Amino acid sequence: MEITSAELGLAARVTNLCKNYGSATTSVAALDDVSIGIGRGQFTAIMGPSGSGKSTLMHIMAGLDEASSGRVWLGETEITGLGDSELTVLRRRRIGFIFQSFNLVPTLDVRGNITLPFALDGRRPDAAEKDWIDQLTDSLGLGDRLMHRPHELSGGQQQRVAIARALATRPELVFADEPTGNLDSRSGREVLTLLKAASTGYGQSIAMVTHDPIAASFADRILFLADGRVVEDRERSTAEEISGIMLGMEQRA
Amino acid sequence: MSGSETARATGHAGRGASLLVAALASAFGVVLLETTSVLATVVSGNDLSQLSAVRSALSIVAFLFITIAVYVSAIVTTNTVATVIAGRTRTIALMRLIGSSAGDQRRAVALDGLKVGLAGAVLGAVVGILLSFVGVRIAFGTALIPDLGYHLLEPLLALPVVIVVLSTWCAAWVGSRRVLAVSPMQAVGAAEERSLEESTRRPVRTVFSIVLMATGVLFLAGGVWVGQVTEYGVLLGLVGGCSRSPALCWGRTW
Ligand SMILES: Nc1ncnc2c1ncn2[C@@H]1O[C@H](COP(=O)(O)OP(=O)(O)OP(=O)(O)O)[C@@H](O)[C@H]1O
Ligand SMILES: [Mg+2]
Repeated sequence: MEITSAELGLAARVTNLCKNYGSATTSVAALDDVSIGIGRGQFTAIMGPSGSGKSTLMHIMAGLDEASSGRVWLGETEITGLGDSELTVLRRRRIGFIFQSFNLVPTLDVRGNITLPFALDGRRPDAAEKDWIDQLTDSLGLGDRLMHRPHELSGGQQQRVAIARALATRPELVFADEPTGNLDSRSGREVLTLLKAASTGYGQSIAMVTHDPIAASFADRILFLADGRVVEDRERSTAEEISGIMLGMEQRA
Repeated sequence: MSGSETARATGHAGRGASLLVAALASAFGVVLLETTSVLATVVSGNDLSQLSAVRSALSIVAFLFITIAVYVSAIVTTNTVATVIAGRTRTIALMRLIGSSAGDQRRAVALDGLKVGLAGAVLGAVVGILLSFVGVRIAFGTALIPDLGYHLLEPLLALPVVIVVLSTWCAAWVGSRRVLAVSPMQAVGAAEERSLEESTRRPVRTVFSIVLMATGVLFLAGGVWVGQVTEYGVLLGLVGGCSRSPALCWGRTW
């Protein structure tokens, strides 16, 4: 019998994942036999130099891209080979996304953006969900900004809206790709503190891709990728330790 | 899925051309039927037994011209919708990423087309009826036509309106198939660059099509004018119009 993700306490996992780009002659192996699990309730950082396959891994785990080989689970659901409509529902109900470029809908105000996942599901948030959204917007300092459009907000505020949207449906797993990449260090730290709080506060599982050692130091666990392979797997570390590991990886390369 | 939410999210920009051609086609259709009706009344004079025969003959001609107008208008709408989608690709991709299905996104675009078609057709019909009233008043005033008690408000006028609404809706549906090609991955990149198509496809075609539409209208007016002199003139004008308009339409790459 197969081991289930729940028995392992995992929010998501991949086994023997490979991803090749290009044709047979000019093939690039973006991922090369990657097997990892993302702990439930954990804040996991995925680090590595540029081109090491971090984004590719995240896209495959989120069902946005297909692997060349290997298997992918979200919770108990194997998503390898699921069709577009199943993956769409999965993204809507069980996954949250935060991106470097915020990715808010410009024509909707803050409230509209935050409740968009519910609207896409063809329903309104129920009472409990409304409470949760109010709580989120308050703790993210967006309470007095609900009627504003994204372009009226600072980068840090826009990213907080994106976080509220990602957390609003209480998804099983939130994927964040370089969430602090477009922010100054102060707003970046705020965003990281909020993600950390979501993870410790109510056990939100988060997988964050970054190449910033300070961002990674907020995580409970750090995976290091290099050339499409997992080369290190660390518990919580300081920014200095993480920088050291990154430096070592670059020197070996 | 709440359509209004998606419509709001994807924005309403770029419907102008569709609205305009729908209104033009509808106004054109209405004026044409009114002209037919007036001509039939004039031709048959006070002989009521002849009226319906003359009318149906003229109506067939009128509907052939309306078909051409609707055809051109539908092509403009299909292209406009495709262009609008190209401009909204990022937002559509983002909606797909967050969990909207391709079908929902497509339906939202098509629904928008239906609304535009409805608004344009009704607007055009109102303008067409007003023009006809003014036209008959002037023709009557200058003694071009006798006072025969013309009927300018008839149920038949609803027909071009309905045809324009349906054709605009259909055209929007056909144009909206491009939505299906948008992948959620197009929203994940940090880059905001526009695709070649997005940056090149815009106004030229729309303007060109509107010019075509206007040509069609002129053709028609000419045909009707000649038809007043000899009944075969109408047919000649029709043949010219029929062969020329589609030829011009197909000359466009789409
Ligand atoms: N669509 C694609 N077509 C071809 N090659 C690709 C594609 N996407 C990624 N790659 C290649 O796969 C490898 C991994 O890319 P990926 O974007 O996952 O790196 P990354 O670790 O996220 O880098 P960065 O830190 O710069 O974002 C790179 O060599 C990249 O060139
Ligand atoms: Mg990346």
